[in-house]
Amino acid sequence: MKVKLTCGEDVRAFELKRQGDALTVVGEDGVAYIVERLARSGASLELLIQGRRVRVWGAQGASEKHLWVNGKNLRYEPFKEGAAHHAPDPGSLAVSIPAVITEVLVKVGDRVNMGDKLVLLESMKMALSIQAPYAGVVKALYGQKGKSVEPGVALIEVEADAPGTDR
Amino acid sequence: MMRKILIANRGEIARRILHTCRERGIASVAVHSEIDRDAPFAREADETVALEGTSALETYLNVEKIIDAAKRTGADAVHPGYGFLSENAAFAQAVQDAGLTWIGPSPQTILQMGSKARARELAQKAVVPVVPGFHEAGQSASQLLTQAKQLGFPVLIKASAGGGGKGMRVVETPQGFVEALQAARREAKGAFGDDHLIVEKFLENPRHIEVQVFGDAHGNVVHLFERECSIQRRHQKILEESPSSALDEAARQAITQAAVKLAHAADYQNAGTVEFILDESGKFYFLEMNTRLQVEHPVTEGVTGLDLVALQLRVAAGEPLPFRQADLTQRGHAIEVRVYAEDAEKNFAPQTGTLQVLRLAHGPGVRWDVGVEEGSIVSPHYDPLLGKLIVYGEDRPAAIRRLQKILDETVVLGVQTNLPFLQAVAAHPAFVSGETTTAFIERHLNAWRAPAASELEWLAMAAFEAWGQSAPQAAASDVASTFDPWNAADRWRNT
Repeated sequence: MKVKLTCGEDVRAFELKRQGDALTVVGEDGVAYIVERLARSGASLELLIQGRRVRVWGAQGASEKHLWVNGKNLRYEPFKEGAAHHAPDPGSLAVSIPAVITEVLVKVGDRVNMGDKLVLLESMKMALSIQAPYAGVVKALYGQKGKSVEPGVALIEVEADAPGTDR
Repeated sequence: MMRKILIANRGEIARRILHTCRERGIASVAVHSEIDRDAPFAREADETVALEGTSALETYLNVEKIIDAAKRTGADAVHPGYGFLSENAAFAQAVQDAGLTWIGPSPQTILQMGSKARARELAQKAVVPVVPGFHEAGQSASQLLTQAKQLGFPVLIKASAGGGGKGMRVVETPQGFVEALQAARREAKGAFGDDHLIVEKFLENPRHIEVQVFGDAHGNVVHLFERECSIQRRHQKILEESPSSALDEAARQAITQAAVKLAHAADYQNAGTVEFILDESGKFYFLEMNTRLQVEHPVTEGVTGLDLVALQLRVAAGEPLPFRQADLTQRGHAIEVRVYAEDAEKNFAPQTGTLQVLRLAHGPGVRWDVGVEEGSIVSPHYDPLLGKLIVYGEDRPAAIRRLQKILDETVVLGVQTNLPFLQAVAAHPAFVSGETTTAFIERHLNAWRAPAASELEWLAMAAFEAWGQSAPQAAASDVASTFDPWNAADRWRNT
């Protein structure tokens, strides 16, 4: 399996070959590394990499993955060529399950307050809503009433107000 | 002593207060909004009252609903925590009018200290230094310039009625003074409808140092030493410690005595904090007084060994303070960091979502005051403070090493937090050497970015791609960046 990942400013491509608890990772320069899996439970992996024991905890958002590796926190995501979808960036909001938009309550340029409902959706007889996670201005809308939406695809982008208000 | 206390707050502080209640054999009542129904503080309280609604205004800021909850549950006292209604004199009065004990200073004291002008007057009367400055009071521009020169440049011009930085200007030299004055006046008029200005000496690179005080109904006032809270971002404290590395014994004596004088002058009862700024030359000036328990009170608990909430209860019940000043000592070093759901790389934007992994590291000298647990949902409705880590060590270097270690070992994933940023603060040479001023973040960690991944970390990412994908947590439904509609306020439609 081939993966191409973005972490911060850097992009790396790897070819992964999995054989039981051993993983061969070949980088673009052709150098191969062996990663050994020692244990796995829930969201954590224990690895042996070049003689070092490495503990990994992971959690997955719709696009970004959050890792903790031996005390360091990392965020990465699959590299996107030309962004076929509107990649959910930090200001964007999406649903986690397939749903249908029943109403869009805001338009581009609207000011919203934290907690304001922005888009109403329905999925499996359930009413859902997307609410503003912070106060700001609606920068973009990618759907309209009646449209089906896929999980993880950005529906709306809200640009946060500049901080400075006391919390 | 009271028998049943209603806690008019949420999150980590509600939990903190109810722990002391339980230790003292006092029953606790939690009030909670709809969205907080399953929050740890609500589950751990002896009784709960659901407040209809989710917004703070409908719930934790709703005086009527909270008083009603206290009456219905037969509570005989109310603890407000910090934030929300804790410094609301009308709420304190309403609690007392309902025949309940208010765990805090009197409504009159809250009102007095809530006004910066009145608090400043009181400080001057008590001969506590305030920032040198003057009110323009109808003087001509040239008269003001003469006064400003006497004060010494740079000076700060601010609106008397002001707030939020509007009409506020730092003037570096006498040449720019008159022009800045006129601009500030226009801005103040526009923003507050009042163009009165105050000119103050501008203090460069100050430290924020505050003194914890306690007063009882019998005229006793003590201080519980200082806390330094210089590491802030836009007036939001991030890291607090005690003792301050900027004070020697003589300076500590002077600043704590000033705080006690002010508290005496205010006839202060219960817990309070007197905030000062300390300039580069070692002079300190009164800033304001907070009439409540502070977020950072565990730092003081660390170095004094006292339970401040337990003391609040005693004093509120009319008992005298159980010690004298001479009985108190400041021992070792304590540091607190605030863990927020916010993205330090995206201008500290608040984050929401589900805390998929929450593993708080422990060990000797480690305390966590948190309002969440694994699986908790961080909603957009309230403050993004998840909790606080407090470490204690025999001295500052030991406490810092412990802080670094515990931050490294702690895993919070699913919602972006400021933990990586806190790691950067704790490891910064300027922090380690005690060079902490309110300009610390701006100067040393402005536009901070997470360090690039190492070779080993890239391999860990590759391994997570290969093996981490089917883990139940990893597949948990979560939303792009952060929001989880399954847990949004809406309920099932067909039930």
